Amino acid sequence: MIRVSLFLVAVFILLLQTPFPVSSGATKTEFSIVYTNDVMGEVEPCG
Amino acid sequence: MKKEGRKILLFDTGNLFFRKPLQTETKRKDALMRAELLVQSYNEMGYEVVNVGEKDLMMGSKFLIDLTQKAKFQLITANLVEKKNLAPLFKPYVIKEISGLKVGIFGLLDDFFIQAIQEKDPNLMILDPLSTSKSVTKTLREQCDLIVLLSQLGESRDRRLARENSQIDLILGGGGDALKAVMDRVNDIPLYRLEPRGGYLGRVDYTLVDRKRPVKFFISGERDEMEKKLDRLITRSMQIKSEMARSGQREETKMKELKFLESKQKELEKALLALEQKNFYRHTAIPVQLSIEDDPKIMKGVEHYRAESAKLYTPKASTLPEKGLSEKEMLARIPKDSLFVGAITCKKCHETNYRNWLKTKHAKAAQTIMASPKYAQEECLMCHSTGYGKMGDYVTVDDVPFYLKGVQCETCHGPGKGHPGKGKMERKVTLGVCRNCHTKDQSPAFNYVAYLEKIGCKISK
Repeated sequence: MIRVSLFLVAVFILLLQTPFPVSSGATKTEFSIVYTNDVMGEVEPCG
Repeated sequence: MKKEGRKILLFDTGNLFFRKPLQTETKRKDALMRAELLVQSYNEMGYEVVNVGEKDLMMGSKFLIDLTQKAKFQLITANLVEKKNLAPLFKPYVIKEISGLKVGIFGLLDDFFIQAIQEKDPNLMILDPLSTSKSVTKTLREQCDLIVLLSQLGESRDRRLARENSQIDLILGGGGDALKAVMDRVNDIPLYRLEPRGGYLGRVDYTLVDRKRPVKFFISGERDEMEKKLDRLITRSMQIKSEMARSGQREETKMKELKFLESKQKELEKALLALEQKNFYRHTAIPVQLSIEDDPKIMKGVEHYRAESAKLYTPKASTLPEKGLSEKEMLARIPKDSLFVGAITCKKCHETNYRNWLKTKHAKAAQTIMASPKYAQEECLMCHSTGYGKMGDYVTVDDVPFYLKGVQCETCHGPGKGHPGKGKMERKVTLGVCRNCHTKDQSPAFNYVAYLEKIGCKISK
């Protein structure tokens, strides 16, 4: 029992000391809003 | 974009179906066929939401509602209501979900046009856009992460709205008099609009990392600038190290500079790291180039429309082919009260100018579009003819009176009726006159001085 506890403590200490790469945990998502405007807009005719 | 697997929402800000008042039955029939083609094409392209503009109501609200029965997209406008009970005629807003975010989209119509709309629909009224926007955004804010306005208010009113309603996250504008694109931020709200006539597609790309509510997006410009600056610092540091390695000497000034650059580099890297956890957006205006392939299904619809449209128009006497006619006979065929008199009339006093003009591309402008059936002919006739819109209805090149084909003298100098009796033609050929047709999408290489040199008809009298 004591050996198990010592082992666990040792593992715990090692974990604290080892710098695991902590991921930001954030997933990057990308999306787009695409648009058009005045598709039937006029060119002012000359004259 | 869809093929790349990118999620997109596709909108139109309005004034999609009609261009101007349709005075004749022929024009109305033609406009209806074109509007049906637009609905089919928009369905094919996957448009989700379209705002209603005042021109869309030109044939009445019932007509618009009937027209869009087959539409897969939703027509919206928040401030067009029935007088009797203030019920909106169309859905004031829709909510779409994308990448786990709820996007509320609402539309506004310009109340300036109420009289024109009431000629067809006396039972309708347009509510004040600003107060409508405040009430709609209050509702949407409770449910949505992003609020988008599709506006037909024109640029100055869009700017005012952005100053007075900070709940809007994105304004996509249209309408008004301005023909130029707008890419700006007002009160930290991005405000975008493209040049009209479908030459561009606008794209707002969002990068979402931080989903904590309320979701906030920053413009990527600042981050992009920092990344460019960091690249320049790194490049300069490498340059100095390389110079010192070649000379074999550690010069004091260079060492000082290197130390300074490295400290700046660390500052920027720290700032960029902080930005990695933020959400960004970036806007691009994409020109719809000739290199983009036409969709075969939509092109089939376009060709069908052109064929059907051409059947609607019957040639008039003055449009009969002029081959075999003498100059005197041609002049005799021009209606006496015609607003535009044609280059053949100008030739009587300005023969050298006329002969110079004949050698230019302007004189052949009608033939160039006949040789390119790819394009909707009425669209092209706006610029490839003389007096378009002022000389009655013609839709195809064959329908243009023979004396008005191509870009003639009066296109640049104004209508010739009454000249010279009423004095000199006043119209100066300014950059604005040319830019009317030589728009950025149609004439990307346009240079005013160089082009004027090529087509100028050189004053001889």
